[in-house]
Amino acid sequence: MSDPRTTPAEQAEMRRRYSMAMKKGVAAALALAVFSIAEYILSNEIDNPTWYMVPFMFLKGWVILDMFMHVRALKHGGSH
Amino acid sequence: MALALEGAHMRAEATFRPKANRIGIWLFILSESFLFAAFIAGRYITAGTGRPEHLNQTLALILTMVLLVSSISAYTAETAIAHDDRRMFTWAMVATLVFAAVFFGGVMMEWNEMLTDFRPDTIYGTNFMMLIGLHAFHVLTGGIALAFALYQGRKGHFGSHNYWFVEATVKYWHFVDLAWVVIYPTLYLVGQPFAEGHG
Repeated sequence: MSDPRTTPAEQAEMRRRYSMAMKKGVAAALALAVFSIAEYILSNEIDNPTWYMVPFMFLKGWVILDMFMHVRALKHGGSH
Repeated sequence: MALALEGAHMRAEATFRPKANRIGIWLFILSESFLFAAFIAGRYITAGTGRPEHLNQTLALILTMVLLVSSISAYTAETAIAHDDRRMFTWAMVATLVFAAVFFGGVMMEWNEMLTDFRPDTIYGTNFMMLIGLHAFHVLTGGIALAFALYQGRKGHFGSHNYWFVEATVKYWHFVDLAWVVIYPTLYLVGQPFAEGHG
């Protein structure tokens, strides 16, 4: 993982960013799992749950677009 | 003069090529989302919000979880290669492919169940087969692209300065997940159950 051309300080910074990115990914996946279970329970508890499903679709969609697909990075050329 | 021009061209290429690539994949994803939106709108327009009584909601929830886990492993693979962690990249890519195969197998099971539980020649049945089939086809093509990225990665083609192909295939994979986020409630959760033969 370490590049011999980088300094130890740069390598430490890279490791910190790597670990941070991994933690963000796990947090996003947990949020998606919680939303999925919540919408499943809601749809079985409510008679006609159609409109209750809409916020879940938007919330889950936004988590995927923002955390996994880095849609906000498009503003500065897409790099992340 | 010629050398200076070539140098300027190479610098411009290095600056603008990644941006053009990224905008290209986003435009592709946008065009794909229109396709899915048309199929999803078709379900609501032709079949309303009703759904058959015998839908296997539990299997669908399990498949949703499998796809979510595959998304985190795909994300891990992309993050790992962006930080030159090739070992983690390989493991995460293999895990993503395994989850993709499990999801695909589950969908085939669901398709088979559907043929026995409710009729495919009803309006809902047709919509169900089309949407699930369209999504499964994207899972298949995404899986093939991920397998190719893994193969190239194992040969040492990618690193922290050159992982565009991995980024593109992983973005496509996340899009497959994103489409499922809407398809899952559209087919399994919305509306009230109706007796078979009325859809």
